[in-house]
Amino acid sequence: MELKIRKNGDVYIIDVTGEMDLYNSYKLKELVVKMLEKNVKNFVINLEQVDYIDSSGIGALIYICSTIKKMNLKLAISNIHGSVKKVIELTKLMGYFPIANSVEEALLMVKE
Amino acid sequence: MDSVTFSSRFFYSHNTQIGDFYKLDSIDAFTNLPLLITAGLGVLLFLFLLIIKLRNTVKSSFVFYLVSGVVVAGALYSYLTEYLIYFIFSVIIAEVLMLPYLILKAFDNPQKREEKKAAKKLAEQTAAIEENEVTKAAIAAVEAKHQRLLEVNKDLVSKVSTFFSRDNSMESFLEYCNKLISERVGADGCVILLADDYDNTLAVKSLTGSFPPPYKLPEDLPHKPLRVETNLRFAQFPFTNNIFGEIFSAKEPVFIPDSVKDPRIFQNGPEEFLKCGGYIFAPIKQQDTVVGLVALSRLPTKAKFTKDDFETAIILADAISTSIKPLYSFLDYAEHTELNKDGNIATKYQKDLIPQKLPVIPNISIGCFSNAMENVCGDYYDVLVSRKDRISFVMADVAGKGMNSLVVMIMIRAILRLAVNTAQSASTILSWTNRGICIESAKIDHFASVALINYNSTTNEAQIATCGNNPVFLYSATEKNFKQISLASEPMGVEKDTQFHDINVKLNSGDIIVTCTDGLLESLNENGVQYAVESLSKVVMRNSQQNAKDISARVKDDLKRYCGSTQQYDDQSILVIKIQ
Amino acid sequence: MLQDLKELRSDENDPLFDKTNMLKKEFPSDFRQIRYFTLLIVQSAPTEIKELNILEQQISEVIKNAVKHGNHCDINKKVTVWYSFSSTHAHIIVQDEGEGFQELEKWNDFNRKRLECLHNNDFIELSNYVSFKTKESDSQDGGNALFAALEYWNGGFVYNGKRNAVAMLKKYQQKFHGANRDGE
Repeated sequence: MELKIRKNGDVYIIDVTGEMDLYNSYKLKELVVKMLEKNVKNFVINLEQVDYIDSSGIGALIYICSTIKKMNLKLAISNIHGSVKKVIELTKLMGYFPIANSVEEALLMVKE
Repeated sequence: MDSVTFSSRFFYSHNTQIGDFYKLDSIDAFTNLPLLITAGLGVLLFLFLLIIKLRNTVKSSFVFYLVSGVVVAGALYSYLTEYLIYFIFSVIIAEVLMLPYLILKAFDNPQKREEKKAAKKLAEQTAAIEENEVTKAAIAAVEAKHQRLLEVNKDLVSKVSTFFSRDNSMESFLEYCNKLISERVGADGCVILLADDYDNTLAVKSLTGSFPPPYKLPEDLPHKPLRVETNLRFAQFPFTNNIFGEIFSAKEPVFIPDSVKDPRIFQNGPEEFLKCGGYIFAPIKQQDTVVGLVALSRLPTKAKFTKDDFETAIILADAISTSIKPLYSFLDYAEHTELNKDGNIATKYQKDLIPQKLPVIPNISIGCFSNAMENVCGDYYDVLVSRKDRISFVMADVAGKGMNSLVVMIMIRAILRLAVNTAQSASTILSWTNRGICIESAKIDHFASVALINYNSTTNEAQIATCGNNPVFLYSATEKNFKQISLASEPMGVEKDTQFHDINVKLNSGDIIVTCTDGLLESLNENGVQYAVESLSKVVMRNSQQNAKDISARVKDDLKRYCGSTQQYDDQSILVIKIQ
Repeated sequence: MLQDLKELRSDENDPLFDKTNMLKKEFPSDFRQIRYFTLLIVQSAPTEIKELNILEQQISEVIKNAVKHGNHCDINKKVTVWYSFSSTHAHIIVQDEGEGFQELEKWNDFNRKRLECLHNNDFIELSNYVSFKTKESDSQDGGNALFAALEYWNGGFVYNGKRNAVAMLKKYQQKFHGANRDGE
């Protein structure tokens, strides 16, 4: 799994590539924690290049989502598709996660 | 009246004065009889008229009946009352009755009558024709509609094939249909939904224009046009408990020209752009199954949808239904081919990776076979002669299937072929190979079982390293036993720093080294029992005097006999090396 | 039928534990090889099965539970998997050598509350029920695998009496749009 960061105004977009499974999901968690320590306030996690996620990956997203909510910061998760979307639907978390259909929509959501 | 009175009366009248004869109010004997005769004849005339009427020989008018009846009546009455005047009056009446009839007949113009008849007939006919015209017009209108439908159908069917070669052909085709139907019906917005193949949901596939959502928006969705539109664009609806699902399940088109009082429409608010106007829903069918739904909207500020619009929409939805079938068939076929293509290409290349001919090496014989199953990535084995003190035997099994596994197999083969030329031990060679494939990006599955046997012909020793499930067995000619000498170990590709272990054995003449893949040992017979080491061991021991080629042939036969026609799920490969 | 899927059951005699005509593999309880074991199982599934990715992921979750929570990653303990596939079904049984899923009832209670929050669209309360953790769970555990499993295995998901083995069945639908039904 690879993680890349880019900026759009004061919104940080994390582009995830590869698989978010039980061996590497912790990396995303760690990255977000680091960014929070650096006072990043607006996050977009772009899962366009992710084609596999398991319960650990979902767990990482849950952790990130709840931490950011607690700190009253902004988060949007964009471009979920295929089996990633399916797994989130199976866990019935579509309403729980702030999901956007595109990075553009995610940016709109976060900037509100 | 007795005969005396009668005859006296009769004769008596003869004796009256001639003048009495002219007395109009009395009858004399002379006229008695004639009166009776008149009556009698009248009745006869009446009878004949009846017969004429019955047999319909001549057209006889009603007047004749009346006349004869009147005359008969007058005559009889006169006879009975003995007053001639009644008869006279009846004749007068009769004549009067005859007059109009005869006048008419006198001045009758048969031609005119014919013309009048003809004119009446013509009028009737014209009226009939006009009625016909109206029906014809109605028929023509329906025919025109059908013609349009045929045109649209033809259009769409020929158009659909142009979408075959595009990516996202279904979405693009539905986009085209969406625009077409919006335009024809004059809708402000149009949504096309298709039922998902494997879930029970209806998913929006195409959305154009303004379509105020007729369903309750999620609580947390801000009521902004872009957000609402995006929500609809990616929405999925179950088959129950929402307007789309219910109409879909009911399978009938629905016309809602005005949603204000309609309980089916949920009015979101309070924003203007959310106000619902009119809606038309038309199902898309495949034979008898509904596979999707077209929904059209008119904003409340515009003119309402008409019945005509509704019918046009139904016709067009039908046209879409017809033309979508070839697209579905094509997509199914393409997917099926695609799924198998991958595997077929991989299999083709894998066949080229294994040696076509085994090298001839002095003092040892080699035998092998490999039964490839469809659908699984093949086994890879190799015999690499580097130098006198290094002849390497490889038996590898890549996990997974298709192109993915082919790529991993090629990598392993390349690294091994290079590394065996060095002086490194078998375990080191395996670690290098392992590191090589672990470092490759995590996008592909990269697990493999590999058994590597480095044989030193000068010292008659073998150095064996394994990873994964491919066991190495040794038949000892001196001890006459067959046992596994390899150790269980994790496969290649799990962690890049995994350490592997060497096992060194001294070989004597008649010893046999056997390595195979787990697919062979796990082969099933019809009772679901695995072939297992025991069966293999029996065959090798029984044929231990043969050369390797024959031994492997015996194993092949035994395996075939054991499995019969039971379906196998993995490749079966074996490599036999015998020290002569 | 849908109602029983919302709850974990324990039934020694469930027909899903019938192992006739199923293939079998055994694995050591090595955490690092979980995805490898899964791949070995799934590679015999026919290519027609849609969303093989999801099937693979769901199987890996069950194997992970067996390795991590059942056998505590003890390399000497085995995980046994029985499996059978066709284009219309996937049937799996996973057994470990552990003491069994002790908190099964607690899990059912937790899930019930979770479903209530979903039913009421109460996303604030839901955040307390998105992840089921026991004292044995660590930060790597998502705590959500079983929620998905109950939804995914539409033919049944049941534990044995001891709760150290679980059997599951996935039934695949024929394609909806009937293009394949012409033969009927």
